[in-house]
Amino acid sequence: MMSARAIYKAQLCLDSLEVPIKFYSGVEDRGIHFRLLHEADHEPVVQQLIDKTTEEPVERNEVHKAYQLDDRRLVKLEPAELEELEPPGTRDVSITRFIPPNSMDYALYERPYYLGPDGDAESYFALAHALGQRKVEGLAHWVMRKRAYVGALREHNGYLMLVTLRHQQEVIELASFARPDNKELSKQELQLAQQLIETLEGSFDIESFHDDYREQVQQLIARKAKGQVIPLRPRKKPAPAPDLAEALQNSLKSIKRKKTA
Amino acid sequence: MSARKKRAPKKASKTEATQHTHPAPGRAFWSGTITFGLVSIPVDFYSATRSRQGKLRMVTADGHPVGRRYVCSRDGQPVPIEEIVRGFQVDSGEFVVVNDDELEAVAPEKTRDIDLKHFIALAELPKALMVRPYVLAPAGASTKAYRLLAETMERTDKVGIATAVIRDKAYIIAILAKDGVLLAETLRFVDELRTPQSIGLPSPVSVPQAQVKSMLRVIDDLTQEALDLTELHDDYASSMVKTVEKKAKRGQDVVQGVAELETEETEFEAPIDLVALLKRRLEKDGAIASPQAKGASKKPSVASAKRPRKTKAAS
Repeated sequence: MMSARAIYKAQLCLDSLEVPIKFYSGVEDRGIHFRLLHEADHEPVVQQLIDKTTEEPVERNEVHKAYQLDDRRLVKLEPAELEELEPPGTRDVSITRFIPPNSMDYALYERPYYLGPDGDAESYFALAHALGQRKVEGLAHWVMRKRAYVGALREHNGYLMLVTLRHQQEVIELASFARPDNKELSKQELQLAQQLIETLEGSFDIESFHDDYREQVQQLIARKAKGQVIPLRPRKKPAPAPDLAEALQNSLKSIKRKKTA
Repeated sequence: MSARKKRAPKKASKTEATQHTHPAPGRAFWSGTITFGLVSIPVDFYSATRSRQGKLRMVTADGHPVGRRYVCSRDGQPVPIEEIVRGFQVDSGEFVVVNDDELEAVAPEKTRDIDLKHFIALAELPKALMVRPYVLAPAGASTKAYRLLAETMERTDKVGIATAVIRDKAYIIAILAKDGVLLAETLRFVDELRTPQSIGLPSPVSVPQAQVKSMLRVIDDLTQEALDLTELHDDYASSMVKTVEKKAKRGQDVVQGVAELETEETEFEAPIDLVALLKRRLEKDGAIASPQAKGASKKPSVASAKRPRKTKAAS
Protein backbone atom coordinates (compact mmCIF):
# COMPACT_ATOMS: atom_id res chain seq x y z
CA MET A 1 0.00 0.00 0.00
CA MET A 2 1.15 3.52 -0.69
CA SER A 3 2.36 5.52 2.25
CA ALA A 4 0.35 8.57 3.24
CA ARG A 5 1.49 12.16 3.47
CA ALA A 6 1.60 14.04 6.73
CA ILE A 7 -1.00 16.78 6.90
CA TYR A 8 0.43 18.81 9.79
CA LYS A 9 3.61 19.12 11.84
CA ALA A 10 3.42 19.96 15.53
CA GLN A 11 4.78 19.10 18.94
CA LEU A 12 3.08 17.34 21.82
CA CYS A 13 3.60 19.35 25.03
CA LEU A 14 3.31 17.50 28.32
CA ASP A 15 4.37 19.78 31.16
CA SER A 16 7.91 20.68 30.15
CA LEU A 17 8.36 17.71 27.80
CA GLU A 18 8.09 18.15 24.05
CA VAL A 19 7.60 15.38 21.51
CA PRO A 20 7.80 16.44 17.82
CA ILE A 21 5.08 14.76 15.75
CA LYS A 22 3.39 14.67 12.36
CA PHE A 23 -0.37 14.26 11.81
CA TYR A 24 -1.78 11.68 9.38
CA SER A 25 -5.44 11.11 8.61
CA GLY A 26 -6.54 7.85 10.22
CA VAL A 27 -9.39 7.24 7.81
CA GLU A 28 -9.02 5.40 4.53
CA ASP A 29 -11.74 6.50 2.16
CA ARG A 30 -13.06 3.34 0.52
CA GLY A 31 -16.41 4.77 -0.47
CA ILE A 32 -17.70 4.37 -4.01
CA HIS A 33 -18.03 7.87 -5.33
CA PHE A 34 -20.91 8.56 -7.62
CA ARG A 35 -21.30 11.74 -9.58
CA LEU A 36 -24.71 13.35 -9.68
CA LEU A 37 -26.01 13.53 -13.25
CA HIS A 38 -28.92 15.14 -15.04
CA GLU A 39 -31.17 12.23 -15.94
CA ALA A 40 -32.09 13.67 -19.35
CA ASP A 41 -28.60 13.91 -20.85
CA HIS A 42 -26.33 12.22 -18.28
CA GLU A 43 -24.32 15.41 -17.91
CA PRO A 44 -22.90 16.00 -14.43
CA VAL A 45 -24.73 18.59 -12.36
CA VAL A 46 -22.85 21.19 -10.33
CA GLN A 47 -23.88 23.20 -7.31
CA GLN A 48 -24.69 26.85 -7.71
CA LEU A 49 -25.20 29.44 -4.98
CA ILE A 50 -28.45 31.36 -5.21
CA ASP A 51 -30.24 34.12 -3.39
CA LYS A 52 -33.15 32.11 -1.99
CA THR A 53 -35.42 35.15 -1.99
CA THR A 54 -34.93 36.19 -5.61
CA GLU A 55 -33.64 32.81 -6.94
CA GLU A 56 -30.86 34.73 -8.71
CA PRO A 57 -27.37 33.20 -8.82
CA VAL A 58 -24.88 34.66 -6.33
CA GLU A 59 -21.11 34.76 -6.84
CA ARG A 60 -19.02 33.29 -4.06
CA ASN A 61 -17.27 36.60 -3.40
CA GLU A 62 -20.66 38.28 -2.89
CA VAL A 63 -21.56 35.94 -0.05
CA HIS A 64 -21.46 37.36 3.47
CA LYS A 65 -21.15 35.34 6.62
CA ALA A 66 -23.74 35.97 9.29
CA TYR A 67 -24.53 34.70 12.74
CA GLN A 68 -28.14 34.02 13.62
CA LEU A 69 -29.31 35.23 17.01
CA ASP A 70 -31.93 33.36 19.02
CA ASP A 71 -34.58 35.83 17.86
CA ARG A 72 -33.67 34.90 14.26
CA ARG A 73 -32.08 38.27 13.50
CA LEU A 74 -28.85 37.97 11.57
CA VAL A 75 -25.63 39.81 12.37
CA LYS A 76 -23.18 40.01 9.50
CA LEU A 77 -19.50 39.51 10.23
CA GLU A 78 -16.80 41.12 8.13
CA PRO A 79 -13.71 39.10 7.12
CA ALA A 80 -11.55 41.23 9.47
CA GLU A 81 -13.85 40.44 12.38
CA LEU A 82 -13.73 36.73 11.60
CA GLU A 83 -9.97 36.87 11.42
CA GLU A 84 -9.87 38.41 14.87
CA LEU A 85 -11.89 35.47 16.23
CA GLU A 86 -9.45 32.90 14.86
CA PRO A 87 -7.46 31.04 17.50
CA PRO A 88 -3.82 32.14 17.82
CA GLY A 89 -1.46 30.25 15.54
CA THR A 90 0.64 27.71 17.41
CA ARG A 91 2.13 24.30 16.70
CA ASP A 92 1.73 23.12 20.28
CA VAL A 93 -0.55 20.19 21.01
CA SER A 94 -1.04 20.75 24.75
CA ILE A 95 -1.88 17.77 26.88
CA THR A 96 -3.77 19.16 29.85
CA ARG A 97 -4.53 15.94 31.71
CA PHE A 98 -4.76 12.18 31.47
CA ILE A 99 -7.97 10.40 32.44
CA PRO A 100 -8.97 6.76 32.85
CA PRO A 101 -10.25 5.04 29.69
CA ASN A 102 -14.00 5.15 29.05
CA SER A 103 -14.52 8.16 31.29
CA MET A 104 -15.90 10.17 28.40
CA ASP A 105 -19.22 9.82 26.59
CA TYR A 106 -18.65 7.67 23.48
CA ALA A 107 -20.69 10.16 21.43
CA LEU A 108 -17.93 12.76 21.77
CA TYR A 109 -15.40 10.83 19.66
CA GLU A 110 -15.31 12.13 16.12
CA ARG A 111 -12.37 11.31 13.84
CA PRO A 112 -9.04 9.50 14.25
CA TYR A 113 -5.60 10.83 13.31
CA TYR A 114 -2.38 8.90 13.57
CA LEU A 115 0.59 10.74 14.97
CA GLY A 116 4.03 9.78 13.69
CA PRO A 117 7.44 10.77 15.04
CA ASP A 118 9.05 13.86 13.52
CA GLY A 119 12.74 13.27 14.10
CA ASP A 120 12.98 12.32 17.75
CA ALA A 121 11.68 8.74 17.47
CA GLU A 122 12.85 7.76 20.96
CA SER A 123 10.67 10.22 22.85
CA TYR A 124 7.73 9.36 20.55
CA PHE A 125 7.92 5.63 21.21
CA ALA A 126 8.70 6.19 24.90
CA LEU A 127 5.43 8.11 25.18
CA ALA A 128 3.49 5.50 23.18
CA HIS A 129 4.93 2.79 25.38
CA ALA A 130 4.14 4.64 28.62
CA LEU A 131 0.58 5.43 27.46
CA GLY A 132 0.02 1.77 26.62
CA GLN A 133 1.25 0.75 30.05
CA ARG A 134 -0.97 3.18 31.95
CA LYS A 135 -3.97 2.71 29.61
CA VAL A 136 -5.05 6.31 30.06
CA GLU A 137 -6.23 8.91 27.56
CA GLY A 138 -4.71 12.37 27.26
CA LEU A 139 -6.84 15.46 26.71
CA ALA A 140 -5.22 17.42 23.89
CA HIS A 141 -5.82 20.98 22.69
CA TRP A 142 -4.38 22.28 19.46
CA VAL A 143 -4.94 24.58 16.52
CA MET A 144 -4.82 23.21 13.00
CA ARG A 145 -5.71 25.16 9.86
CA LYS A 146 -6.99 28.12 11.91
CA ARG A 147 -9.35 25.97 13.93
CA ALA A 148 -9.12 24.98 17.59
CA TYR A 149 -9.48 21.27 18.31
CA VAL A 150 -9.84 19.14 21.38
CA GLY A 151 -8.97 15.46 21.17
CA ALA A 152 -8.14 12.26 23.00
CA LEU A 153 -4.54 11.07 22.82
CA ARG A 154 -4.38 7.26 22.91
CA GLU A 155 -1.98 4.45 22.30
CA HIS A 156 -3.01 2.35 19.30
CA ASN A 157 -1.04 -0.77 18.35
CA GLY A 158 2.21 0.71 19.67
CA TYR A 159 1.68 4.11 18.01
CA LEU A 160 0.09 7.39 19.07
CA MET A 161 -3.42 8.22 17.90
CA LEU A 162 -5.37 11.42 18.38
CA VAL A 163 -9.16 11.15 18.06
CA THR A 164 -10.84 14.55 17.71
CA LEU A 165 -13.69 15.15 20.15
CA ARG A 166 -16.92 17.04 19.60
CA HIS A 167 -17.51 20.02 21.81
CA GLN A 168 -19.97 19.39 24.61
CA GLN A 169 -22.54 21.63 22.98
CA GLU A 170 -22.47 19.57 19.77
CA VAL A 171 -23.74 16.40 21.44
CA ILE A 172 -27.41 16.07 22.38
CA GLU A 173 -28.00 15.11 26.00
CA LEU A 174 -31.36 13.64 26.86
CA ALA A 175 -31.02 14.95 30.40
CA SER A 176 -34.57 16.27 30.65
CA PHE A 177 -36.09 13.02 29.41
CA ALA A 178 -38.09 11.18 32.07
CA ARG A 179 -37.31 7.52 31.56
CA PRO A 180 -40.26 5.32 30.64
CA ASP A 181 -42.12 3.62 33.45
CA ASN A 182 -41.61 -0.02 32.54
CA LYS A 183 -43.64 -1.48 35.38
CA GLU A 184 -45.86 -3.50 33.09
CA LEU A 185 -42.93 -5.43 31.60
CA SER A 186 -43.35 -8.86 33.13
CA LYS A 187 -40.67 -10.67 35.07
CA GLN A 188 -40.77 -13.44 32.52
CA GLU A 189 -40.20 -11.05 29.60
CA LEU A 190 -37.29 -9.36 31.36
CA GLN A 191 -35.72 -12.70 32.25
CA LEU A 192 -36.06 -14.07 28.74
CA ALA A 193 -34.61 -10.91 27.20
CA GLN A 194 -31.67 -11.04 29.57
CA GLN A 195 -31.10 -14.73 28.83
CA LEU A 196 -31.15 -14.01 25.12
CA ILE A 197 -28.53 -11.25 25.48
CA GLU A 198 -26.36 -13.49 27.64
CA THR A 199 -26.59 -16.26 25.05
CA LEU A 200 -25.51 -13.88 22.30
CA GLU A 201 -22.79 -12.22 24.33
CA GLY A 202 -19.24 -12.71 23.21
CA SER A 203 -16.05 -10.83 22.78
CA PHE A 204 -16.21 -8.45 19.88
CA ASP A 205 -14.26 -9.52 16.84
CA ILE A 206 -14.54 -6.45 14.70
CA GLU A 207 -12.35 -8.05 12.03
CA SER A 208 -15.18 -10.46 11.31
CA PHE A 209 -17.36 -7.65 9.94
CA HIS A 210 -16.84 -7.03 6.25
CA ASP A 211 -18.35 -4.45 4.00
CA ASP A 212 -19.98 -6.89 1.56
CA TYR A 213 -22.26 -4.16 0.31
CA ARG A 214 -19.34 -2.12 -1.08
CA GLU A 215 -18.19 -5.16 -3.08
CA GLN A 216 -21.72 -5.81 -4.30
CA VAL A 217 -22.07 -2.22 -5.54
CA GLN A 218 -18.72 -2.48 -7.37
CA GLN A 219 -19.93 -5.65 -9.07
CA LEU A 220 -23.24 -3.99 -9.88
CA ILE A 221 -21.41 -1.15 -11.66
CA ALA A 222 -19.26 -3.63 -13.58
CA ARG A 223 -22.33 -5.61 -14.67
CA LYS A 224 -24.18 -2.50 -15.77
CA ALA A 225 -21.11 -1.25 -17.66
CA LYS A 226 -21.35 -4.47 -19.67
CA GLY A 227 -24.97 -3.71 -20.40
CA GLN A 228 -26.47 -6.33 -18.13
CA VAL A 229 -29.92 -5.86 -16.66
CA ILE A 230 -30.09 -6.04 -12.87
CA PRO A 231 -33.00 -8.16 -11.60
CA LEU A 232 -34.88 -6.25 -8.92
CA ARG A 233 -36.03 -7.73 -5.68
CA PRO A 234 -39.70 -7.62 -4.70
CA ARG A 235 -40.36 -5.57 -1.58
CA LYS A 236 -41.33 -7.70 1.40
CA LYS A 237 -44.14 -6.88 3.77
CA PRO A 238 -43.18 -6.93 7.46
CA ALA A 239 -44.50 -9.94 9.39
CA PRO A 240 -47.04 -9.25 12.15
CA ALA A 241 -45.54 -8.94 15.63
CA PRO A 242 -46.00 -12.11 17.69
CA ASP A 243 -46.46 -12.21 21.44
CA LEU A 244 -43.30 -10.82 23.04
CA ALA A 245 -42.59 -13.57 25.55
CA GLU A 246 -43.37 -16.26 23.00
CA ALA A 247 -41.02 -14.68 20.46
CA LEU A 248 -38.22 -14.49 23.01
CA GLN A 249 -38.74 -18.11 24.05
CA ASN A 250 -38.68 -19.26 20.43
CA SER A 251 -35.52 -17.22 19.83
CA LEU A 252 -33.75 -18.92 22.72
CA LYS A 253 -34.91 -22.35 21.56
CA SER A 254 -33.67 -21.82 18.01
CA ILE A 255 -30.26 -20.59 19.23
CA LYS A 256 -29.90 -23.60 21.53
CA ARG A 257 -30.86 -25.91 18.69
CA LYS A 258 -28.14 -24.35 16.53
CA LYS A 259 -25.59 -24.70 19.31
CA THR A 260 -26.31 -28.36 19.95
CA ALA A 261 -26.60 -29.22 16.27
CA MET B 1 -7.47 19.07 5.75
CA SER B 2 -10.10 19.76 8.32
CA ALA B 3 -11.15 17.22 10.88
CA ARG B 4 -14.71 17.74 9.89
CA LYS B 5 -15.10 15.99 6.62
CA LYS B 6 -16.91 17.96 4.01
CA ARG B 7 -20.21 16.23 3.39
CA ALA B 8 -20.88 14.78 0.02
CA PRO B 9 -23.77 16.40 -1.77
CA LYS B 10 -27.03 14.86 -0.87
CA LYS B 11 -27.62 11.76 -2.92
CA ALA B 12 -30.69 11.69 -5.03
CA SER B 13 -32.20 9.08 -2.79
CA LYS B 14 -35.93 8.80 -2.77
CA THR B 15 -36.31 5.73 -0.66
CA GLU B 16 -35.72 7.50 2.66
CA ALA B 17 -38.52 9.96 2.21
CA THR B 18 -41.09 7.56 0.84
CA GLN B 19 -40.61 4.79 3.35
CA HIS B 20 -40.69 7.05 6.36
CA THR B 21 -44.23 6.87 7.65
CA HIS B 22 -43.90 8.79 10.91
CA PRO B 23 -43.55 12.47 10.20
CA ALA B 24 -41.94 14.25 13.11
CA PRO B 25 -40.46 17.64 13.88
CA GLY B 26 -37.19 17.41 12.02
CA ARG B 27 -36.73 14.55 9.63
CA ALA B 28 -35.61 11.12 10.73
CA PHE B 29 -32.19 10.45 9.30
CA TRP B 30 -33.04 6.85 8.61
CA SER B 31 -35.62 4.22 9.55
CA GLY B 32 -34.97 0.58 10.16
CA THR B 33 -35.92 -2.42 12.23
CA ILE B 34 -33.90 -3.85 15.08
CA THR B 35 -34.31 -7.59 15.24
CA PHE B 36 -33.54 -9.21 18.53
CA GLY B 37 -34.05 -12.92 18.16
CA LEU B 38 -37.52 -13.17 16.66
CA VAL B 39 -38.58 -9.81 18.07
CA SER B 40 -38.81 -6.88 15.64
CA ILE B 41 -38.47 -3.30 16.83
CA PRO B 42 -39.05 -0.61 14.18
CA VAL B 43 -37.09 2.55 14.96
CA ASP B 44 -36.38 5.99 13.49
CA PHE B 45 -32.81 7.30 13.65
CA TYR B 46 -32.35 10.91 14.70
CA SER B 47 -28.96 12.58 14.76
CA ALA B 48 -27.61 13.07 18.29
CA THR B 49 -25.34 15.89 17.18
CA ARG B 50 -26.01 19.48 16.33
CA SER B 51 -23.76 21.89 14.53
CA ARG B 52 -21.36 24.11 16.42
CA GLN B 53 -22.79 27.21 17.94
CA GLY B 54 -20.30 29.26 15.97
CA LYS B 55 -21.72 27.98 12.71
CA LEU B 56 -22.19 30.82 10.28
CA ARG B 57 -24.87 31.19 7.68
CA MET B 58 -24.43 32.46 4.17
CA VAL B 59 -26.38 35.62 3.27
CA THR B 60 -26.34 38.25 0.54
CA ALA B 61 -25.44 41.87 1.25
CA ASP B 62 -29.18 42.50 1.80
CA GLY B 63 -29.38 39.68 4.28
CA HIS B 64 -31.23 37.32 1.96
CA PRO B 65 -30.41 33.68 2.69
CA VAL B 66 -28.06 32.01 0.22
CA GLY B 67 -28.92 28.47 -0.79
CA ARG B 68 -27.63 25.89 -3.22
CA ARG B 69 -29.19 24.34 -6.24
CA TYR B 70 -27.98 21.97 -8.90
CA VAL B 71 -27.48 23.16 -12.43
CA CYS B 72 -26.55 21.14 -15.48
CA SER B 73 -22.85 21.54 -16.28
CA ARG B 74 -23.63 21.68 -19.99
CA ASP B 75 -26.21 24.47 -20.20
CA GLY B 76 -26.24 25.90 -16.67
CA GLN B 77 -29.99 25.30 -16.36
CA PRO B 78 -31.35 24.42 -12.89
CA VAL B 79 -32.04 20.70 -12.45
CA PRO B 80 -34.74 19.68 -9.96
CA ILE B 81 -33.72 16.95 -7.51
CA GLU B 82 -36.17 14.45 -9.08
CA GLU B 83 -34.21 14.63 -12.34
CA ILE B 84 -30.87 13.79 -10.75
CA VAL B 85 -29.42 10.30 -10.96
CA ARG B 86 -26.22 8.69 -9.68
CA GLY B 87 -23.49 7.84 -12.14
CA PHE B 88 -20.20 6.06 -11.72
CA GLN B 89 -17.49 7.09 -14.15
CA VAL B 90 -15.82 4.01 -15.62
CA ASP B 91 -12.38 3.93 -17.26
CA SER B 92 -13.77 4.81 -20.69
CA GLY B 93 -14.98 8.12 -19.21
CA GLU B 94 -18.61 7.11 -19.60
CA PHE B 95 -21.04 7.17 -16.69
CA VAL B 96 -22.80 4.02 -15.55
CA VAL B 97 -26.12 5.10 -14.06
CA VAL B 98 -27.26 3.21 -10.98
CA ASN B 99 -30.69 3.74 -9.45
CA ASP B 100 -32.06 3.19 -5.93
CA ASP B 101 -33.88 -0.03 -6.83
CA GLU B 102 -30.72 -1.57 -8.27
CA LEU B 103 -28.72 -0.63 -5.19
CA GLU B 104 -31.39 -2.14 -3.00
CA ALA B 105 -31.32 -5.30 -5.09
CA VAL B 106 -27.63 -5.92 -4.34
CA ALA B 107 -27.84 -4.88 -0.69
CA PRO B 108 -27.82 -7.62 1.95
CA GLU B 109 -31.17 -9.43 2.06
CA LYS B 110 -32.55 -7.38 4.94
CA THR B 111 -31.09 -3.93 4.32
CA ARG B 112 -33.24 -2.22 6.88
CA ASP B 113 -32.78 -4.84 9.54
CA ILE B 114 -30.32 -4.33 12.34
CA ASP B 115 -29.94 -7.91 13.39
CA LEU B 116 -28.51 -7.99 16.91
CA LYS B 117 -26.56 -11.23 17.04
CA HIS B 118 -23.62 -10.00 19.11
CA PHE B 119 -23.57 -8.29 22.47
CA ILE B 120 -20.49 -6.78 24.10
CA ALA B 121 -19.57 -4.45 26.95
CA LEU B 122 -19.72 -0.73 26.16
CA ALA B 123 -16.01 -0.32 27.00
CA GLU B 124 -15.11 -2.69 24.15
CA LEU B 125 -16.42 -0.36 21.45
CA PRO B 126 -13.37 0.84 19.49
CA LYS B 127 -13.16 4.64 19.70
CA ALA B 128 -11.04 4.91 16.56
CA LEU B 129 -13.87 3.50 14.44
CA MET B 130 -16.69 5.72 15.67
CA VAL B 131 -18.51 7.85 13.15
CA ARG B 132 -21.72 9.40 14.45
CA PRO B 133 -24.21 9.06 17.32
CA TYR B 134 -27.98 8.72 16.94
CA VAL B 135 -31.05 8.64 19.16
CA LEU B 136 -33.60 5.97 18.22
CA ALA B 137 -37.30 6.65 18.55
CA PRO B 138 -39.77 3.75 18.50
CA ALA B 139 -41.70 3.75 15.23
CA GLY B 140 -44.04 0.78 15.60
CA ALA B 141 -47.57 0.57 16.96
CA SER B 142 -46.36 -0.89 20.25
CA THR B 143 -43.34 0.33 22.20
CA LYS B 144 -43.17 -2.64 24.54
CA ALA B 145 -40.38 -4.51 22.74
CA TYR B 146 -38.41 -1.25 22.44
CA ARG B 147 -38.67 -0.66 26.16
CA LEU B 148 -37.88 -4.27 27.01
CA LEU B 149 -34.67 -4.21 24.96
CA ALA B 150 -33.61 -0.79 26.35
CA GLU B 151 -34.33 -1.85 29.92
CA THR B 152 -32.49 -5.14 29.60
CA MET B 153 -29.45 -3.76 27.76
CA GLU B 154 -29.12 -0.99 30.31
CA ARG B 155 -29.44 -3.36 33.26
CA THR B 156 -26.87 -5.78 31.86
CA ASP B 157 -24.67 -2.90 30.63
CA LYS B 158 -24.45 -4.41 27.15
CA VAL B 159 -24.20 -3.06 23.62
CA GLY B 160 -25.63 -4.87 20.59
CA ILE B 161 -23.57 -5.01 17.39
CA ALA B 162 -24.81 -5.47 13.82
CA THR B 163 -24.26 -4.20 10.30
CA ALA B 164 -26.70 -2.26 8.16
CA VAL B 165 -26.78 -0.20 5.00
CA ILE B 166 -27.67 3.41 5.80
CA ARG B 167 -28.09 5.79 2.91
CA ASP B 168 -26.06 3.82 0.41
CA LYS B 169 -23.22 2.93 2.74
CA ALA B 170 -22.77 -0.09 4.98
CA TYR B 171 -21.78 0.47 8.60
CA ILE B 172 -21.17 -1.51 11.71
CA ILE B 173 -23.87 -0.29 14.10
CA ALA B 174 -23.72 -0.40 17.86
CA ILE B 175 -27.08 -0.23 19.65
CA LEU B 176 -26.88 1.12 23.20
CA ALA B 177 -29.36 1.99 25.92
CA LYS B 178 -29.38 4.91 28.34
CA ASP B 179 -32.20 6.22 30.53
CA GLY B 180 -34.68 3.89 28.87
CA VAL B 181 -33.86 5.19 25.39
CA LEU B 182 -32.15 3.24 22.63
CA LEU B 183 -29.16 4.97 21.06
CA ALA B 184 -26.91 4.02 18.17
CA GLU B 185 -23.38 4.74 17.02
CA THR B 186 -22.22 4.04 13.49
CA LEU B 187 -18.73 2.53 13.22
CA ARG B 188 -16.28 2.21 10.34
CA PHE B 189 -15.21 -1.16 9.04
CA VAL B 190 -11.68 -2.12 10.04
CA ASP B 191 -10.35 -1.62 6.51
CA GLU B 192 -11.51 2.00 6.61
CA LEU B 193 -9.01 2.70 9.39
CA ARG B 194 -5.45 3.11 8.19
CA THR B 195 -2.68 1.25 9.94
CA PRO B 196 0.77 2.54 10.93
CA GLN B 197 2.08 0.24 8.18
CA SER B 198 -0.25 1.53 5.45
CA ILE B 199 0.69 5.10 6.35
CA GLY B 200 4.33 4.14 6.33
CA LEU B 201 5.16 5.13 9.91
CA PRO B 202 8.64 4.04 11.01
CA SER B 203 8.97 0.79 12.94
CA PRO B 204 9.15 1.21 16.72
CA VAL B 205 12.67 1.85 18.00
CA SER B 206 13.93 0.46 21.27
CA VAL B 207 13.76 3.06 23.99
CA PRO B 208 15.93 3.30 27.12
CA GLN B 209 13.92 2.21 30.16
CA ALA B 210 14.80 5.49 31.89
CA GLN B 211 13.03 7.46 29.14
CA VAL B 212 9.86 5.37 29.47
CA LYS B 213 10.02 5.90 33.23
CA SER B 214 10.25 9.64 32.89
CA MET B 215 7.24 9.55 30.50
CA LEU B 216 5.33 7.48 33.06
CA ARG B 217 6.16 10.09 35.70
CA VAL B 218 4.84 12.91 33.53
CA ILE B 219 1.68 10.92 32.76
CA ASP B 220 1.11 10.13 36.43
CA ASP B 221 1.60 13.77 37.38
CA LEU B 222 -1.00 14.83 34.86
CA THR B 223 -3.48 12.01 35.56
CA GLN B 224 -6.79 12.95 37.10
CA GLU B 225 -9.88 11.01 38.07
CA ALA B 226 -12.18 12.62 35.56
CA LEU B 227 -12.63 15.04 32.74
CA ASP B 228 -13.22 18.70 33.47
CA LEU B 229 -16.11 19.53 31.16
CA THR B 230 -14.84 23.05 30.61
CA GLU B 231 -12.19 21.36 28.46
CA LEU B 232 -14.90 20.51 25.96
CA HIS B 233 -16.19 24.05 25.87
CA ASP B 234 -16.22 25.72 22.48
CA ASP B 235 -14.28 28.93 23.17
CA TYR B 236 -14.41 29.98 19.54
CA ALA B 237 -18.20 29.90 19.60
CA SER B 238 -18.30 31.84 22.87
CA SER B 239 -16.11 34.65 21.59
CA MET B 240 -18.13 34.78 18.42
CA VAL B 241 -21.35 35.15 20.40
CA LYS B 242 -19.74 37.98 22.39
CA THR B 243 -18.69 39.82 19.23
CA VAL B 244 -22.09 39.31 17.66
CA GLU B 245 -24.02 40.44 20.73
CA LYS B 246 -21.94 43.62 20.90
CA LYS B 247 -22.72 44.35 17.28
CA ALA B 248 -26.40 43.58 17.77
CA LYS B 249 -26.56 46.03 20.68
CA ARG B 250 -25.10 48.75 18.49
CA GLY B 251 -27.46 47.75 15.72
CA GLN B 252 -24.47 47.26 13.43
CA ASP B 253 -24.82 44.91 10.43
CA VAL B 254 -28.10 43.53 11.73
CA VAL B 255 -30.57 42.20 9.18
CA GLN B 256 -33.96 40.64 9.73
CA GLY B 257 -33.67 36.86 9.54
CA VAL B 258 -35.93 34.45 7.74
CA ALA B 259 -37.36 31.21 9.02
CA GLU B 260 -35.42 28.75 6.90
CA LEU B 261 -31.67 29.01 6.86
CA GLU B 262 -29.68 26.14 5.54
CA THR B 263 -26.24 25.08 6.49
CA GLU B 264 -24.31 22.42 4.74
CA GLU B 265 -25.07 19.97 7.49
CA THR B 266 -28.72 20.70 8.08
CA GLU B 267 -29.76 17.16 7.35
CA PHE B 268 -27.35 15.80 9.92
CA GLU B 269 -28.70 17.92 12.73
CA ALA B 270 -31.00 16.87 15.49
CA PRO B 271 -34.69 17.69 15.21
CA ILE B 272 -36.02 20.68 17.09
CA ASP B 273 -37.10 18.85 20.21
CA LEU B 274 -35.94 15.28 20.49
CA VAL B 275 -37.12 14.88 24.08
CA ALA B 276 -40.69 15.84 23.19
CA LEU B 277 -40.59 13.48 20.24
CA LEU B 278 -39.42 10.53 22.35
CA LYS B 279 -42.04 11.33 24.98
CA ARG B 280 -44.82 11.40 22.43
CA ARG B 281 -43.72 8.12 20.87
CA LEU B 282 -43.40 6.35 24.19
CA GLU B 283 -46.55 7.86 25.64
CA LYS B 284 -48.71 5.86 23.27
CA ASP B 285 -48.50 2.95 25.66
CA GLY B 286 -48.88 5.16 28.71
CA ALA B 287 -45.28 4.28 29.48
CA ILE B 288 -44.08 7.68 30.58
CA ALA B 289 -44.43 8.50 34.24
CA SER B 290 -46.15 11.75 35.13
CA PRO B 291 -43.80 14.72 35.41
CA GLN B 292 -44.67 15.20 39.09
CA ALA B 293 -43.69 11.69 40.00
CA LYS B 294 -40.36 11.89 38.19
CA GLY B 295 -39.67 15.50 39.05
CA ALA B 296 -38.96 16.20 35.43
CA SER B 297 -37.40 19.58 34.84
CA LYS B 298 -39.30 22.41 33.21
CA LYS B 299 -36.17 23.53 31.41
CA PRO B 300 -36.36 23.77 27.66
CA SER B 301 -35.33 20.57 25.97
CA VAL B 302 -31.63 20.16 25.41
CA ALA B 303 -32.15 19.82 21.72
CA SER B 304 -33.47 23.34 21.48
CA ALA B 305 -31.22 24.93 24.08
CA LYS B 306 -28.55 27.10 22.52
CA ARG B 307 -26.06 27.32 25.34
CA PRO B 308 -23.77 24.50 26.34
CA ARG B 309 -25.12 22.69 29.35
CA LYS B 310 -23.22 21.32 32.21
CA THR B 311 -24.22 17.72 32.00
CA LYS B 312 -22.43 14.58 32.89
CA ALA B 313 -20.32 13.31 30.04
CA ALA B 314 -19.49 9.95 31.51
CA SER B 315 -21.70 7.19 30.28
